Amino acid sequence: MKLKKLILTNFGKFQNYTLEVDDGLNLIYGENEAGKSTLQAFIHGMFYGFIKPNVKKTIYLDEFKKYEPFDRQDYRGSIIFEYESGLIRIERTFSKSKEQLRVYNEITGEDITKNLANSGQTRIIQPGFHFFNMDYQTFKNTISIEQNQISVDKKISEELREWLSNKYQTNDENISINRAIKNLEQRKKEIGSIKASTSDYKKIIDKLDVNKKRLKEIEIDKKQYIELITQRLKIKEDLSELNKILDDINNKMIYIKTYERYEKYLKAKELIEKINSITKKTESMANGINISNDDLYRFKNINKNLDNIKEELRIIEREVDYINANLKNVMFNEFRIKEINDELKKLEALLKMNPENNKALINDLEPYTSLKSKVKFINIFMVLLPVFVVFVSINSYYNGNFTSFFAVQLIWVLFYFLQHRKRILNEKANLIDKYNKDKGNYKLLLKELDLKEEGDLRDEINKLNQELSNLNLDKKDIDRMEMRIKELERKRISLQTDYEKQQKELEKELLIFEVDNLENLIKEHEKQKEKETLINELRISKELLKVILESDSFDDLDREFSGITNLDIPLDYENKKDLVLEIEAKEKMIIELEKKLSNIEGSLKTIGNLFEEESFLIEENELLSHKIKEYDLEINAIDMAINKINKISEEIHQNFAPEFNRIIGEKVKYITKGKYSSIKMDKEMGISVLEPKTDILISLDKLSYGTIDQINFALRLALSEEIGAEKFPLIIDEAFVYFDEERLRNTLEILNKISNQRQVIIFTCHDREKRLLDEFKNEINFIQLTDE
Amino acid sequence: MFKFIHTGDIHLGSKFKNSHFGGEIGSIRRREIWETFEKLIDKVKSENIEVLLIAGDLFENDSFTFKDFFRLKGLFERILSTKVVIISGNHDIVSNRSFYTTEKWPDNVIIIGENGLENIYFEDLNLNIYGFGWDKLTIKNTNLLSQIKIKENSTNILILHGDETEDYLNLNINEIKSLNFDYVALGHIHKPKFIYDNIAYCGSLEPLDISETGERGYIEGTIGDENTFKFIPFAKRKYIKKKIDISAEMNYFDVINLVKNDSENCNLDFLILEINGIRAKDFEINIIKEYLQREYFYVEIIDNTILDFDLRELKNKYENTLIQYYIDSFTEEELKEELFRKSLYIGLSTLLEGIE
Repeated sequence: MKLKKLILTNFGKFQNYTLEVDDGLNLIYGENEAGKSTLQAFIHGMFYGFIKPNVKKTIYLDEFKKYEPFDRQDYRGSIIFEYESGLIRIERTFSKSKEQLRVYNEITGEDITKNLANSGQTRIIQPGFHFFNMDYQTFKNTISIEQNQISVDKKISEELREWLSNKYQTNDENISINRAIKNLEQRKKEIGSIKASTSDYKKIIDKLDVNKKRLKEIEIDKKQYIELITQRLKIKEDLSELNKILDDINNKMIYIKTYERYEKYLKAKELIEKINSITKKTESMANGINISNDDLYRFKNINKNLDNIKEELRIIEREVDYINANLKNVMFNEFRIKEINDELKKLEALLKMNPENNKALINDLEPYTSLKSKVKFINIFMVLLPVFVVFVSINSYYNGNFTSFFAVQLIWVLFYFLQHRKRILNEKANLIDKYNKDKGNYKLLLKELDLKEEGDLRDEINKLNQELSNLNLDKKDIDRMEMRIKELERKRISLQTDYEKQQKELEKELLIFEVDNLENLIKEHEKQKEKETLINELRISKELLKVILESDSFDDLDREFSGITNLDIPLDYENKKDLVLEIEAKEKMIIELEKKLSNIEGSLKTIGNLFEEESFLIEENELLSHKIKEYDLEINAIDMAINKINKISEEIHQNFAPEFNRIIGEKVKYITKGKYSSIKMDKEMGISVLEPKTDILISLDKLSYGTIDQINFALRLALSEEIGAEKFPLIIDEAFVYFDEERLRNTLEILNKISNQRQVIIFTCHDREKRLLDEFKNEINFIQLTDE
Repeated sequence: MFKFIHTGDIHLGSKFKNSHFGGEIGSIRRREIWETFEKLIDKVKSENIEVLLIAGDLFENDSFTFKDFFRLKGLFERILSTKVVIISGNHDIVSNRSFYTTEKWPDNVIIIGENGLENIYFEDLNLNIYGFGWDKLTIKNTNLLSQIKIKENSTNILILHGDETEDYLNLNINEIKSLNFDYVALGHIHKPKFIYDNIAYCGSLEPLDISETGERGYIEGTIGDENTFKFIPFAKRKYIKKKIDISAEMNYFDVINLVKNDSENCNLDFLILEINGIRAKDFEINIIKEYLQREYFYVEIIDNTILDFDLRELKNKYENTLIQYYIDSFTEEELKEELFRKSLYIGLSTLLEGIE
C-alpha cells in the first residue's frame, strides 16, 4: 500500500491543502507548529476516525477536538492511496453528527463503502481495520510511529501480541486468540450480568425480584383471603343458626296465625248465624205504614192535651161542689144586724157619761189630803209672819237698824205669795172633791144594767161590734162564692167543647194509620222500631263480619276449619308481640349478616384474582429461572472457554518467546549495528536487552533515551515486519530526536533501504535528516512545510 | 338404558409446574381447562346425558378460588337433569374448609365418599354407585374393596381415584375386576386407559403437565342391553412429543420436513421436540423453533445436538496450535457434562471463526 495524496479540505490549520507523497522515501520538513503532527493525525483520522474503538457509543478522542477547524465548518478531507494495484479514495466528514465516510475506487469512481462493512465496531466504518487489517493501537505501534510513542511502551497492543503468537504457532492459519476472547467476552456481555443494568440477564433477574416481591405480597393477601374464608364460614354458621331459630319462631307464628284464623273462623261463624237469624226475623215482619217518630210524638201530644183537658174539667167540678157545700154552711140573718145597731147606740151613750173621761184633769194633781195639809201649813205662816214683821220692825226701828227694817219689809211680798198659793191649792182640792161625787153616780147606773163596772160595758160594746162585723163578712163571702160558681160553669163549657173537638181530630188522623186508637198506633210503632233495630243490627253484624274476616273469605276458612272441633291455644299466644319482635330482630340480624357475607364474598372474589396472578408469576419465574440457568450455563461455559484459551495462550507464549526474541534480536542488532543483539520480551511485552559489555540483562527503561528510542524503533520495525506490515507505509514523526549522528545515519540508511519496498514518510523539524539522506544520493521526496 | 360420561382429573385452577410455558401460556391453559370443561357440560346438556361421573381432582384446593367455585356451581346448575356424581381426589381432598363441605352444591350434584366408602342408589335408573373420596393427601392400604358388595339386579358403578402405588390407594385391579361392577370409573392417572373393557382411567380432560402427550378426553358409557364404553378425544390441545435425528448436512427445511412429515393440523398443539444428532455450525436451533412456532401453538425444543466439529480431524489439521491444545484441554469424562461440552463448542466456534 502506498499513500498518494492527502487532501485536507478543512482540518486543523489546513484549508484546501493537498500533499502528494512519493512511493519511496518522503521527508517532510517543517518548523515547530508548521503542521507535521496535524498531517500525521490527518492520516490517523482518515483511517480510524478519532473515535474510541470497540465501543458502540460514539466517544471522540482528544484529537477530534484538537483538529477541529476554527470555524468548525466543513471538518473534512480525503485521502488517495494505492491498494492492491488499484487506487482508493476515502472521503470523510468529521463534523459531529454529520459524520460521513465514503470509499471509492478512484479509477472507476465506484462507491465501495459497503465492501468495508463491519470494519471496526464503531458506528462509523473505520477503513483502517479493512485496509491495514489491524486496530488503531497496532497501527500506531507498527505503522505510524509518533514522536512520543517510540519511548518505553509496554502497551503493545493485545492484537500485536496475538499476531505474534499466531505468526509463530499456527502454521499460517490466522487463529486469533484475541479476537476469540473478545468475541467470547462480547457474547458474555450480550448475555449480561447483574451489574449490566441494560442486559437481558439483569432484566430477568430484576423481573424475578419484582415477581418474588409481588408473590410475597400475594402471600400476605392470601392470608387475608384465608381469614375472610374463615370469617365467611363463621357467618354462614351463624346464619344457619339464626335461620333455624327463625324457622322455629316462624312455625310458632304460623300456628298462632292458624289459631287466629281458627278463632276468626269461630267468630265469623257465630256472626253469620246471628245474621241469618236476624234476617229470618226481619223477613217475617210485615211492612206497615211507616209511622214516624214525629207522627207518634204529635199523636201523643194530642192525647196528652185531651187528658189535660179532662183533668181540668174534673177540677172545676170538684171546686163547684166544694163551693156549694160552703154556701150551705154560712148562717146569715138580716134582722139581727138592726137589733145590734140599736143596742150599740144605747150602750155608747152610757159610756160617754163615765167621770173617768174627766179624770185627766186631776190625774196630775197631788192627792187631796196632801193639798189640805199644805193649806193648813200656809195658814200658820200667815199668822206668824205679821207678828214677826211688827216685832222686827219695832226692834229695828228702835235700834236704828234700817237695813233690817227694810229687809223685813220684804217678807210682805212672801206673804202675798202664800196667800196666792192657798187659793190654788183650794181650787185643786175642790176639783178632786167633785170627781169623787160623779163616780158614785155612774156606778149606780151600771148596776141597773147588770154591769159591774165600765170595763164590762166596753166588752159588751166590743162583743156587739164583733158580731156585727162577722155578719158583714159572711155576706161578702156568699156573694163571692156565687160569682165563682158562675165563672167555673163558663170555663167548663169551653173546655168541654175543646175536648170534643180534639178528640174528633185525633180519631180522624188515627184512621190514616189504620188503627182505631193511639195505643195500637204505639204498638205498631214499636214493632216498626224493633224491625229497624234488627236491620241495624244486621248491618253492624255484616260490617263486623267483614272486619273480622279481613281479606279472608269465609268459604276458605270454612274449608280449612269446618272439620276441626277444637284447636289447642298456642303456647306463645300471649307472647305473640314478643315473637313478632323477635322475628324482626332476627331478620334484621340475618340481613346484617347477609350484608356482611356479601361484602366478604365480594372481597373474596376480588382477592381470588390473586390466585391467577400468583400462578402466573410462579410460572413466569420458573421460565425466567430456567432462562437464567441457561444463561449461567452459557456464561460458565464461556468463562471456561476464556480461561482455557488464556491459559493455553500463555503456555504458547512461553513456547514461542525464545524464537521471537531471536528474530527481533537480529533486527535490533542490524539497526544498532551489532551493539545490541539479545532482546528478551516477557509475556507482558516488557523488554529487556543484554548489555554486551557486562553481559547483563537490563530492563529497557534503565538505558539512555537515545538507546531506548533506538531499540524501540528497531523493535517496532521488527514487529512491523514480523506481523507482515511491510506492505504498508511507514510513517515516522520526530522519532530520532535523541539519536546521535551515528545512530541517525544507521537508522536513515536502513530506512532508505526499506523505502525500496515500503513507502516511508518521515516528519522532522531538523535539517540533519535531509543532510544525512542527501549523502545516500538517493532520490528522496523532500517537502517543506511553511508556516503560513 | 342410560348414558353416562366419565371424566376426572380436570384440575381446575391448576398451576403448570415444571413446564417452561411462562405465565401467559399458563394463564391461557388455565382458561382453556375451564373452556373444555364448559364444553363438556354443554355436551352433557345437549345430549341429555343422564349421569356425569367425576373421578376426583375436579379442581385443585390450593388454587381453586371462591370465585371459581361459583363459576363451577353455575355450570352444574345448567345440567340440573343430569346426576353429577363427584368423588374428591388427592388434589381436591375433602376437609372442613373445602368447597365440598362448606358450600351448597346444586341439587343434581352428589358428592359421595366424603366419609369413606359410600354408595348411592338412583331408583329411576336402577343405578347403584359406589364411591370413595379423599380426605387426606395420601391414602395407603385401605381394605376398601373388601367392604364393597354390589347390588344385585341393578347397574353397579364404582368410582375411585388412585392407582396401584402405595400412597395412592394401592388399588388391586384384579380384585376390582372380581367385584363384578358394570363399570369402574378411575381417576388419578392423567393418561386415558382401558384396563379392561369396563375398567378405565378417563385421563385428564386437557393435558396438564408437558409430559402428558397424546389424546385427552373423556369416556362415554351406555348402560343397556349391551354396555359400551368408549374414549372420546375432547381436549382442545394436544402435547405432541417428537424426537428427530439430524445431521450436519441438513438445512432448516430438511429438519422442518422431518418434524412435519404428516400433514396434520397442529396449530393448536404443543410440540415438544427432541433434536439429536449433529448440526451444522451455522445451524441455529432457535430458527427451527421460529419455523415451528408458525405451525404449533407452543414449541419447546430439547436440544441434544452437537455441533458439526470433527474433533479428531480438527486436532490433526491444527496440530500444535491453540485449537489442538484447546480441544485437548477437555477430557472425555468432562465432555459428558453439558457445561464442558458447551464450553468446548463455544470456544472452538470462536477460535475457528474467520479460519474455516
